[in-house]
Amino acid sequence: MIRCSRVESLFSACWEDELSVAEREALEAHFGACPACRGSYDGFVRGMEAVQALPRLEAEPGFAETVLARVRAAERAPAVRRALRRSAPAWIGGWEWGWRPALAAATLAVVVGVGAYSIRNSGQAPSGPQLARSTPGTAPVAGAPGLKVLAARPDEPAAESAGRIAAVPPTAAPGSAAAVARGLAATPRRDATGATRPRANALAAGPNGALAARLGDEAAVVPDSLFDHAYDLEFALDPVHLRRVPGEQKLRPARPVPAAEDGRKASITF
Amino acid sequence: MAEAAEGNERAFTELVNRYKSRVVNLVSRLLNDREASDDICQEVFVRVFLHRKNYRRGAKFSTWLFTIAANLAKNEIRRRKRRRNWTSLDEMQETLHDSSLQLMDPRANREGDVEVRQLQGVVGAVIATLPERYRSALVLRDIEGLAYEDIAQVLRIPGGTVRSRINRARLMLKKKLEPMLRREELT
Repeated sequence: MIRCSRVESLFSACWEDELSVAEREALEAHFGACPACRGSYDGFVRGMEAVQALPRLEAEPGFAETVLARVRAAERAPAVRRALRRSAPAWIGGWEWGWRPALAAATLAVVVGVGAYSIRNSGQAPSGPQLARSTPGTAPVAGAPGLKVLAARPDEPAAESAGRIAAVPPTAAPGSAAAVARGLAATPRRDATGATRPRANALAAGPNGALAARLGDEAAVVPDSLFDHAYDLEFALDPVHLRRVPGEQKLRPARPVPAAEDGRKASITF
Repeated sequence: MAEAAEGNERAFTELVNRYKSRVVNLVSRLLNDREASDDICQEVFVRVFLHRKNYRRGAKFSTWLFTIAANLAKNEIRRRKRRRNWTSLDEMQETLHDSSLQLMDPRANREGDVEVRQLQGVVGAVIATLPERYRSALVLRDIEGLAYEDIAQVLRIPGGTVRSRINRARLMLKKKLEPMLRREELT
């Protein structure tokens, strides 16, 4: 004898006539003894009949012509549009979603632009010389969280770098990339013989214009450059949210980072 | 299909004419929206033509066609689900009511058929309330009459999962339709 709780699971097979002889006999015996299950199966059958009685819907007149017109239009469409359509993952549908990567790229460009703008203008803000507390070679960029100056001239010793950062003029915002950049720029440049000479362009950008006049032609050529072009400044854009895993020292990304993107750096040249 | 795959427009038109009714029926029942389904069905055939080179010779054309149609309908269901967050419940009910009327049998115009039309509208609307994964399996089996193996290919799920989804969908449907069908019987 089948239990009531199992009877429902046999409705589909019974409706499709897929039950074995033994199962069918057991089900019929149960229906004979249990009017509730019999009624439940009758309800099931009525529902299935209602579904199967639904009318078949026909296509509108001119359907094939419209399809052909759309096919021709799609074939005439630029190859880029078709490529977008093909490359779009199934879960996001057709080509109309292809603007997403472009939007992401545009957003990134705006973020980088705003960051660069804030770096240029952060020198105007009055502040104290707090950069000495910063880690040498790494400083957060003001106005652009997640944007960090990673390193400058890897061949330089850390102590020298720290000294340079401490020498940032107080006109630069604390912790700003401009401050770091000015610190770098204010450091005398070493030439091939090991002798030092002043960094003209950076000093020219400072508040003391008279100083620039003393530094010769180099200052006149690039009068307002914040950066010394002899140095490579590396910025790492790190939009991945990190979280601390219990029991682990390292921070891990909150969601998986694509293998192609993991560990990649973006270098920005000014 | 072999000729259509070569870019033969006449062969492709023949394919469209042969299968348009099944695709329209499938997509309309999955979405419970006749108007929107026309556009999606056209897109199905456009994609068939554009991706005709991806069709594996020897494979069942109807299975490939239904896979594209079911995927596009699925995308539309998900898009609507996201959009539903911004629409009011009243609007939703209004849309459901309108689309149910659209999906009734257009031949049933006489006064005596109104009840049948209403019941068809209710059945269509109830199918549309099933979760998408169960709805697809149910429509492919009980409305389109596909074999379990073909449904497994269309939905890219194992045969056992197809059976359990169909069984589950039918029981859900029964639960939702039972009170209405009982009322119909009483009247």
